[in-house]
Amino acid sequence: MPRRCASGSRNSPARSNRCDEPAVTGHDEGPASGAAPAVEMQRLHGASILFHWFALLRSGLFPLVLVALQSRTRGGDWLLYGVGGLLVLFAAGSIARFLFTRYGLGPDAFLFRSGVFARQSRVIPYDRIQSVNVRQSALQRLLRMGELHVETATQGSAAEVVLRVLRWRDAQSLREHLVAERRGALGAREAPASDATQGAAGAPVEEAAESTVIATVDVEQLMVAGATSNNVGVLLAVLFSGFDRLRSSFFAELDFTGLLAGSLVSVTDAIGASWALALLVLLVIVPLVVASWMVSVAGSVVRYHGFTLERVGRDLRRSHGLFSRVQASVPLRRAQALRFHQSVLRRPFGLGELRLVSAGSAGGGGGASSGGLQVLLPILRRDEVSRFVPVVFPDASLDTLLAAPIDDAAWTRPKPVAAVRIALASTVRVLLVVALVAAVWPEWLGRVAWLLPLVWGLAWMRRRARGIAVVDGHVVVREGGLARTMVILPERKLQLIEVRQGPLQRLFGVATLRLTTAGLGGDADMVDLALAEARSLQDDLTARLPRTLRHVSASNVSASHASVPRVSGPVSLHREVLPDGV
Amino acid sequence: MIDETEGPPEAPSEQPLEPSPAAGRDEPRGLAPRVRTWWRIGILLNALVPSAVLGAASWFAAFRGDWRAATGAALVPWLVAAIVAVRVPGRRYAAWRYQVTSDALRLDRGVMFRQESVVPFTRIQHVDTEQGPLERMLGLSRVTVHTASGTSSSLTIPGLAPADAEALRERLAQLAGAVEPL
Repeated sequence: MPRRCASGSRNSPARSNRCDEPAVTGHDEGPASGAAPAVEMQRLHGASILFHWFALLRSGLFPLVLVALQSRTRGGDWLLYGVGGLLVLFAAGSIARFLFTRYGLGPDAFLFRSGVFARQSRVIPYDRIQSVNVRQSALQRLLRMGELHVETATQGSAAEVVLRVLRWRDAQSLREHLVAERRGALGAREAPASDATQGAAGAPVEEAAESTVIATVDVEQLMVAGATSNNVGVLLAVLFSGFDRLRSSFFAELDFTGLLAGSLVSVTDAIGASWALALLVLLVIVPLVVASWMVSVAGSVVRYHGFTLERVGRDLRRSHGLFSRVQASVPLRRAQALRFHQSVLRRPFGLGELRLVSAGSAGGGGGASSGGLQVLLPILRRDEVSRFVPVVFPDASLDTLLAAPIDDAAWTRPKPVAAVRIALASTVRVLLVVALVAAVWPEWLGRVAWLLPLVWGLAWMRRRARGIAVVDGHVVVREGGLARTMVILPERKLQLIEVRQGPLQRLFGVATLRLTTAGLGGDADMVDLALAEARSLQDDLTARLPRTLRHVSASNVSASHASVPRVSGPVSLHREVLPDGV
Repeated sequence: MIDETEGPPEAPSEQPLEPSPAAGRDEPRGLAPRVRTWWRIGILLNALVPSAVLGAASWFAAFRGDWRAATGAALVPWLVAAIVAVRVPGRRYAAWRYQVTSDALRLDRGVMFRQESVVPFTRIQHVDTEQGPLERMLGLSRVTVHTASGTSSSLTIPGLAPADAEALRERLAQLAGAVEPL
């Protein structure tokens, strides 16, 4: 069990976040430690025993089955004692967990204690809370229960604190409370600097948590989202490969290239008398594809039903879900980048998905987030993106830029020879695959030749689609071949700016400009810029970065006054690390 | 074997770093020449496992106890490593530059794959110096700069004289100052 602790000792290096285990054990009711005032610690809802028991049962299914199998060889009593014993053991564990899990609202931190044997005590200062999410599974919904997840900026996969389960009402009011506390804590810290920053909104500290609905997504749009989600494509590919295996074992005479090209005529020609194959396609594969499509549509509707994006105070909140509800909120100031992705199926319709990259977040869950990426809108028209950018980055006015075609002067694009470089690189890749295939089926060598023009066409397309623009303190990077991605990052959020050049790129005098922000998925690579252009962009962006934190306050990112000088750690003698190879 | 005098003209170990943050731009610096030895040993050590695997495989499977074939097979990785160790570290050393500019730390490196990184001081989270046993024997140390970046969150300058490394760490820590909260 990781014993990290989200301690917010601000004047120590980030690495020391693994703080010492506070010696807060024993009686929870008593004074926690000498200095801290007594905080009323609360228990979870009693039903959490049941939920934990179920969870244990689910994970303990394997031992249960083992015991049951044992009983077949050793007589029926074993079943009774073994299974019964495990059930009791699980129940005892659940009850102990319930008894030893407490949370409390301290004066300036959220407190959480858990663990039966290995006691764990977490202190999360309110201003360090990254996001507070409430979730509800179908069963929890039935019982009007819910769970609360508290996340900090620690780069981890799981939330720092999970309260499972609370009464739904309580979970929501606790969330409101935590969000308000965080706002208060941040407001207090920022108050001296924020007079200039808050133009439109009122005083930040007393700012009421009024919510404005920014967007909703109706069922019809969700069905479109599901129908165009790439899962269908993946499934088709799987089906075709399975189909091909069937074909090779039963109908060796069939011409495969014809099938791949999708030419129905040649397929029917090739089938000839193979009625069985036609039947197979008609009766098995077509229904399977249709069914998977339906499943995909239904999945999208179930997951995102009633999708609502709201602005609550200075947070963005999304809530959605038909059976299991997800409510996730992200503080706007933690937003690092916006990513608009158009998959192959969505691009013809001018649709895509808008995601938000936030700093180090584990995401609000519900399958709608991965890494630091959170879904802002599951489906959105390409021409509407510019309307949503100011919601996250208020000082961005990218309307004209985003409306401009890629060959507009606003975009800096790769050198045209870059297409040759991409084509060369992908040719090498194709040839490698061909060599592999030819080693097994030499007769295929000639048949894959048509792949090359395809790959070259794609290379031309990818070179054409790339572009970078710096407008109004925001960097926009576009890229893609059949699918397209657009990343919007505020300059002031940039962490590291790199120019990279591989051997092939050197040959063509081009380089990759890599922009990184604090947040997984918040990187943007501008590939194949002319080297001089990449370098001058690197220099420009670096020069414009805030030298000191006070410069930041002109944006929606409020400057902090935590100007405690950093003290670096002592010389650490690490294990010998061998340098990389060539 | 290798001409040890090749590489950048300035020897970093000669001049101690000025600790004042107001010093402005520094000239680009190279690494300590000894780092080539460290890289060479590292490259040679990389041959250890492949050599053992190849040797064992040819002894047990391919040639069935023919000790000459097994020895030959075991020698192949060492040969490759030796060639790499002779050819690569010198060029890698010549390509390495780091520079403390007025607002950022610049790292330029890589022979085949060039990489030019800029770390603005305001983005530095913390700075470490590290030393492995082999580095200690050779009198080398490395400085690792941590940022909050999602993917490449730390950058390392290897092969510095320990005094230089510590001075650089102190200087960078001082220059880093306050970091914008995420």
